[in-house]
Amino acid sequence: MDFRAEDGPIVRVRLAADGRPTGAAASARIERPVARVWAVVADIERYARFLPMVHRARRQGDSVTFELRFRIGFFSVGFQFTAAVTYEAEKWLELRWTAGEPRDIRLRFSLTPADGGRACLVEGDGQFDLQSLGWLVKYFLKHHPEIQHGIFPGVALVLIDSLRRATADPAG
Amino acid sequence: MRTLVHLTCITTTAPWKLGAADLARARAVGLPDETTLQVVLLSAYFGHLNRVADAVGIELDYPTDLTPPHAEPTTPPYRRPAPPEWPDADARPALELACRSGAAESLAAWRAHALLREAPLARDQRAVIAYAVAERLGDAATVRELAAPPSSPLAAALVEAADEVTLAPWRLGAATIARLRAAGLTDDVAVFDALATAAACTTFSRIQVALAALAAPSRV
Repeated sequence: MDFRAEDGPIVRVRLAADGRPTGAAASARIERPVARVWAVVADIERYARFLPMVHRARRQGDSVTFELRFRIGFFSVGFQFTAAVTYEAEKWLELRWTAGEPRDIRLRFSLTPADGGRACLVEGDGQFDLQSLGWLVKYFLKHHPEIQHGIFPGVALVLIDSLRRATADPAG
Repeated sequence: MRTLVHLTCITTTAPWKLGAADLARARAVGLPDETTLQVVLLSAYFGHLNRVADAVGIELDYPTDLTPPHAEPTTPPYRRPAPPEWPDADARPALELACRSGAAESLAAWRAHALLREAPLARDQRAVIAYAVAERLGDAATVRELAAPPSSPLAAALVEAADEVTLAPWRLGAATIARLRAAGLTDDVAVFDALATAAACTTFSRIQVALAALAAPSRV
């Protein structure tokens, strides 16, 4: 992934008034035209092919239900959420929570053409209510709350890195 | 950017090898001391997060076109410094945590939370882990602060887990968890607490060692 210091921070974390993280955005440059990147972003049902944890995505009009799976050494969990889709073609796409877990999830991709259309600056933004996932709280956050500071940067980086890999994949 | 990467790599793999020359190089390319400190802090913190991910064995349980990175268990562990290589714990650090607002207070609060609680692990079990991690990173101040671990099957298992978390986290897996369970940690939450506490201790000791080392002549 190409990062340029002059493009500004790679990851920006948003904090609540009490200092807890609430979301994060990550930026990167993808050496593909906006149209190519948009084709991947807009094909939501194919997110399961490149976004970690996404097992299945089913779209019905402007609503998408995501099934997620997460397996670690101790246990396996599955959960799902439904989100409303809004977008402006080749500029941005946003998925905003309407039901399920994690509560209040919002995922957004923003695209900006660069280098005369040869490349694309991408921002991936993610947030959700960490406390709404009981297993996450029980196993990870209750005794090691510092981990929450890594979750949102991880989500934001995964969004753009997965997108970069998917746009580079000829079959993507 | 190269200086940032250099500082990150040394902090991650061998923080005791940092030296005054690294700090001088950072200053020469225009990095404020606060930025250099932030590089050390973030490198140490993300070392913690990556170890937690390794410890819990996060896997994709569905087919994907894009193969995730593969952990290779035969990769050699990071080198453990001999005591003569440990930075002087009494030397005045070249970089103070105070040069980044809130850093000292946040780190102290996190360290107290990680080491002074009595559950799921007991406080003395946390001390065993902290001591083992400190020994493996050359953190003389923490080794001096804590007593050497007692001899018991559980202490031995905790030391073994701390060793793996610190020096070869890519080897963490079912065998690590099985050893902890066999030694008496039957509850999953306690097992995770042991591994995450060790990972947290790598952050505390790594920062301690890196900041002490930056005041010393560089080591080869």
